[in-house]
Amino acid sequence: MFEVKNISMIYDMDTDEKMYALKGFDLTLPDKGLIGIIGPSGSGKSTLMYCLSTLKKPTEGTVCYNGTELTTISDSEREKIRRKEFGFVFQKHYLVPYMNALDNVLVAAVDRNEETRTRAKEFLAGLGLLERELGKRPAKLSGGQCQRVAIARAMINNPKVVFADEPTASLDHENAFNVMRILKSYSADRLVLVVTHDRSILSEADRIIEIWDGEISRRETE
Amino acid sequence: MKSNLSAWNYVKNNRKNVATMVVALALSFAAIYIVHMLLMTSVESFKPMALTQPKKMGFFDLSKATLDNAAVPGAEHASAQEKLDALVQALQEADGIDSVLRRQVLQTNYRAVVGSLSMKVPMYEADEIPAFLAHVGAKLTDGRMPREEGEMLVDEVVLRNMKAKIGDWYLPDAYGEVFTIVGTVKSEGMYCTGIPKGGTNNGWYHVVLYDADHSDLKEVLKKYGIETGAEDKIDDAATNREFFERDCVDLILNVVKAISAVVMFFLGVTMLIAYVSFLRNRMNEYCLYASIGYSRFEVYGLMMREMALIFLSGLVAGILAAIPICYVFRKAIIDPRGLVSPLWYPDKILEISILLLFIFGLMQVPLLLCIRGIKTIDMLED
Repeated sequence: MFEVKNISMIYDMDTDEKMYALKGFDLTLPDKGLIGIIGPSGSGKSTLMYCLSTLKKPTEGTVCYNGTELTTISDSEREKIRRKEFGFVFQKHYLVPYMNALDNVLVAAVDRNEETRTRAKEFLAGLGLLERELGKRPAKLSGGQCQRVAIARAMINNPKVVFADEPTASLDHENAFNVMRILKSYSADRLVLVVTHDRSILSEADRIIEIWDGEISRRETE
Repeated sequence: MKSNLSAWNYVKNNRKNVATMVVALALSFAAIYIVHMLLMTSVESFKPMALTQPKKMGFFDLSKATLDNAAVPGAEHASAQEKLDALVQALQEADGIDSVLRRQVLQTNYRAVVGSLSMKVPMYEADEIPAFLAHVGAKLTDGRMPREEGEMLVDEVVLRNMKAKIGDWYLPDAYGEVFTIVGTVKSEGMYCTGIPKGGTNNGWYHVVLYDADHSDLKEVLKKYGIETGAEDKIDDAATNREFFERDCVDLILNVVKAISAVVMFFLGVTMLIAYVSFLRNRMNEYCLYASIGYSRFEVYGLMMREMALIFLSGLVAGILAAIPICYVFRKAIIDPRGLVSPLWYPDKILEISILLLFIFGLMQVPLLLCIRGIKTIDMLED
């Protein structure tokens, strides 16, 4: 699904001391499975995820997604891919504070119809949110519930790839485990990329890529 | 791909914030509209007296200098008085002119919510009054015709404006207890008349009862060799129309415009400050939209739809608030004073809408700056 070649990301390009977030490596990712990208803070793991998901453009190298070269396409094509084919779970949930849980899911939907609404409810129910919680705003939901709403939002369009950046960072152990169980389940026929510095949550990952100082230091296959 | 960013989402979930903006817009709209309506009362109420009345009746008082220089046909080399007599004789014989009589005049005083209008009241002998009323199309509606000196017939609207009734003194503040109201008349031009008493009057004039085609006295006099100047007193349809448009309509419209500008300035500044804060509070939301694949144009569309919804609601609420308030003012202030004012001013609604549209346009500045500042979440988390 993803073919990454010689990818580099350099910050502070104009200064003498260039900062390499990614240092020219190759990477191939499959169509499905739970892939963990692990590394300490500042290792470049989030940058890699953002480059793969078109949010960032690498300084050098190419990112091919299903045969499409993501670094050369237009902004609007990138937006289209993000909207239709990718789903995002960010470190913070970034729910819209004035919308209820259900509307927060539907805001990402490509087609907003009754069918999508039913699917959103099913997603939320499957993620453990009760019917009465669907009408609650984020401020009235727990951190775990908010993250589950964010996961439902990421999955509402049945994306081919879900990018999850530290999805369990603000959750307790039990909620973290639940979130990972959901992502694992989704990865049965889709690709789920989880960026984390916590190896314990990747116990069920199909593959773990360890990044250190902008380079892949280890590739593990479970 | 259809955008699912609905403006209604924000509106329905932020009723207090939206209501504050809608109320601010509605109040500003209503304030301007109500002020306009109240001030326009003067314009609408003065119309019959200032524009209709002089179409049938005019006054002139020529100076000796004008008469000396006049070339009245058949009296070119006569004295000023002889020229005047010849002129009056010629006018009385002219088609379209019913009578030309040198008579005393009084004043009426017709007060609106803002300002008042004074018009001349011709004073006739008792036997001349029926002909005057017939000429101006006035009918006795209450009381009786004047028979004695100092008895007055007053238009019923003017009487209501004076807060007087039959049997009361006529403008006692101006004339003392000299003239008594004995009857009311009704006519399009709000005419009054009466029988003079002593020297209590506002001077002597030639009162000309003409038809509308002869209502420009300067032009009429010119035909008889009279070139009027600044020292002559002419009070006809042309001079009244000029006065009405300059001192009444233009003045009032300028006052309304000035008030509108001040209200809109403060509204614009307030809305601008409120909108900047509104956008700042929602920056993370816009960044989320950009991150999950909405284009900036779609986010801009959302902002525009939300703002349009708020402005449109403010406009509708403004109209719905202003009209009933104007109705209450009309019943409480305008009608009892015998004044006239429509409730519905489509031109003003359009004008205020354009001003609101201008403020709407002003909002584009923070909006476009906000659009430029939208980042994706990776940038927020860097």
